Amino acid sequence: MKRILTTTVVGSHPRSPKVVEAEKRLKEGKIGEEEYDRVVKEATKICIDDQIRAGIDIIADGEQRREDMEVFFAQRLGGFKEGDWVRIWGNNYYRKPIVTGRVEFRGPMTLDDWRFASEYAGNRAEVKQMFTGPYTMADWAFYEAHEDRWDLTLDLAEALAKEAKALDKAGCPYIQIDEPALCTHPQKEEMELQAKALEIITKGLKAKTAMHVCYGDFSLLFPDALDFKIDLIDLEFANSDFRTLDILREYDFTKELGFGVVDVHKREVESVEEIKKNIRRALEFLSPEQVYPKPDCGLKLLPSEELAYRKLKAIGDAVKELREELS
Amino acid sequence: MILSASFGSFPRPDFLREYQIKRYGKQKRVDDAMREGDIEVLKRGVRAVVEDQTGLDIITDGQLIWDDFLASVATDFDGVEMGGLIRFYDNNAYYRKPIIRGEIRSRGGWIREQVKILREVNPGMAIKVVIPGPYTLYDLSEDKYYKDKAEGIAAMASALRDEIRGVEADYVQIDEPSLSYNMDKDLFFSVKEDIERLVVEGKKGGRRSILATYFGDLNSCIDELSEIRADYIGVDAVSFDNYEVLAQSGLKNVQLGLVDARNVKMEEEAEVIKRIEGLGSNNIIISTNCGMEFIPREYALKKVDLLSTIANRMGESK
Repeated sequence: MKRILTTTVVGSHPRSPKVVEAEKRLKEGKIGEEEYDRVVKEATKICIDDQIRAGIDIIADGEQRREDMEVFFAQRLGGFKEGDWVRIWGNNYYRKPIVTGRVEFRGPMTLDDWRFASEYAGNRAEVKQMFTGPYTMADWAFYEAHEDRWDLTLDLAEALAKEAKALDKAGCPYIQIDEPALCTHPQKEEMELQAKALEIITKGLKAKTAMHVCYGDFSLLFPDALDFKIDLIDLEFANSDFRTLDILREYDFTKELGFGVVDVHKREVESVEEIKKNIRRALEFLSPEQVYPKPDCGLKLLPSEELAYRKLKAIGDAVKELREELS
Repeated sequence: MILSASFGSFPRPDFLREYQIKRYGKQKRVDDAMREGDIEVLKRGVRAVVEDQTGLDIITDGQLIWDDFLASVATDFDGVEMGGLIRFYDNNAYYRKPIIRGEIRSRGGWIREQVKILREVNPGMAIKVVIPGPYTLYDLSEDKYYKDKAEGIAAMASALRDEIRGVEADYVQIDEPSLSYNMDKDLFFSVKEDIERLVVEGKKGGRRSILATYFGDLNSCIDELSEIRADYIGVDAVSFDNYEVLAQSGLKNVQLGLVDARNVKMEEEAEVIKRIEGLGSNNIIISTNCGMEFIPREYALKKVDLLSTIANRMGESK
């Protein structure tokens, strides 16, 4: 029987204070790569155990190694150089990278972490892997050498296709392309660009593929995204009061849907009842096989690992009850 | 005359960035009042960005104490509280969404305080003060109080008038990115007078007013913008084919954003000059297309140099 209401996550967990500290010490030269790696792996184990305890079916490694979803990949791809600080919000900054030449894939960037997570989880859960997509990588970087953002996006897609291929070859069952920037430019042509980029990345993969998008105008996505070469579309819903359901309802939604049922920008934990009610709203026009309940976005910005766990547990508990009620 | 101006925000000096992270954490709390030590560091920061803007005819304080674009004034309003994070247009930048829960009233201190500091640090140069405009501020807020949008925008405009009343700046810039990004024409016309009254307030006391748009497609709003009687209309001439739209429109009094503050690629001086000349106007302020805090300081300095060189060159040839 096919699993219904498969629970999953978007990917990141709050970064363990131990990892943050170890990273600082690594930069200062006080510890070596080996010690840093050990701390990351210990933290990853906790992320994994928490997700499994909460009742999540498809888990992630928690992205403990990624200080920033743009910078992590920019540091590992050829063609990028480190930029200086640019503010994102409040007192949060990132070193916005600068693309100074053609993008070059130098080797897998997320494969080792997936392998470790997958081995540690064993048969307790399936493990997916996520990487920042070409659209977002291009949009969140400066560029000097490329003709325009289109040229850069497609160049990045070619490089990231090799990352996807490496994960696929190793047996990663779910590959997720994170595109938080996708719904921010209001021009319809942007979707044509993304369709091309996704085609390049997912071509020939055995793994199930997903695209995560958050905090934008989702009406821009449809109907184009229904034809994207991916299996699952993962969106934020709770933060925008589930208004996106009204957009989806208008189409024959044939893909699977990552359904954000907890708001990662809110500290209050959603009640099981509330989550169940919202999942039922999706089930009004989607099958329970199609719907993947999960948090709106990565849990990274939540103030503690404990709160992240409680948010996930609320999803796990809600789905458990719903599965019984539906069977 | 061709003048050069800083748009508004400026990259924060290292020491200020580090101080703010240490003092406030990820986000300053609304009720965390400025302490004496905070003001001292802030003044040092303003002094540093004033120096960074050397060569420009019109400078700003770099918006160094703005937590975000909206919080700047929204935290100075009664009736408004700050909600969760929302993306700022198509940028990898976020603001806290203001939530309107009661009648909006300005406490009237925020902008005044900023201008005081900028004047104190820099007594000589022409200064510009920036506020978000009522249309934009309302567009990016959540209204749980007013009966309709027009009423909410009118209330915002009135509170903003109080914010800038009597402020000793040379230029008052009202930022209205939403007018070009997603203008609802019916709504615009129903609140046009409120926007105009704010513009008029901005002109009082010999100040000059700038109504600045950015990020959006000018095609969607150029006629409406042309009707607003500000001293200057700010135009993002980098995005879309906005420059061509502007050139065809006949709009002459513009703050012309021909230098991109969202990418580090440097513009060709000759090309920029050609475009300025192409407008056939003598009443232009040249600037970046938006605030400069989207690029690192190193590049902001290069773009300041470019703007100042161009304004000087065009001044000489007259």
